Amino acid sequence: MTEPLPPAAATPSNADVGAPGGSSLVGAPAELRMTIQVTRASGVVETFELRGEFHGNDA
Amino acid sequence: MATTHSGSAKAAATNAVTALLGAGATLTFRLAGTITAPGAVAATLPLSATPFAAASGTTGVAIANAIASDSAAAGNASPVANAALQTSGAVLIIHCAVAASASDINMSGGLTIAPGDTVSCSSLTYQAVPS
Repeated sequence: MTEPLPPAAATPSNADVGAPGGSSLVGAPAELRMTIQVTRASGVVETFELRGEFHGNDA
Repeated sequence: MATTHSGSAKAAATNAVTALLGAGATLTFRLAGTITAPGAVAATLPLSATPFAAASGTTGVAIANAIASDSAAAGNASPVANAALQTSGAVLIIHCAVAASASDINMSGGLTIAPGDTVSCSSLTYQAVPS
């Protein structure tokens, strides 16, 4: 007796790529990292470490 | 299931994206928006004519070449929500949300750029495919 084949896995769509909790074709999301300095009118310089992660096409 | 790319593949992906910027590209800090409907610009920093050096063949990380400061930022009362890398024609190529983690704990509420502030960027890296 032949067992039925399991259902085919769903094919990820573009909308799934990188979506939180969804399929990902590229693993971890792309990253943009930067260090910026903002000099205020008072002369005070503030430094920020920014790390951006982005998912999909329009996030 | 994880997907893993070779170093050369990661570098190729990063280089393909950074090449789209071209000469005259800028780094902009913006209020909330999307790549198709970007928020208002709070600061604009010109990138070098070649915005990024070639990506590492091991990690795929590209380091930006020298970035000029915005010595008189447009600013906004609302905090910055996004950073964007865009062409000289204002076509956004990379757009992402940013989270500020300030060296000064008093600024933990976010990054707000006031009109006339000077904004500089001393380090910028981009990685299209981290794994």
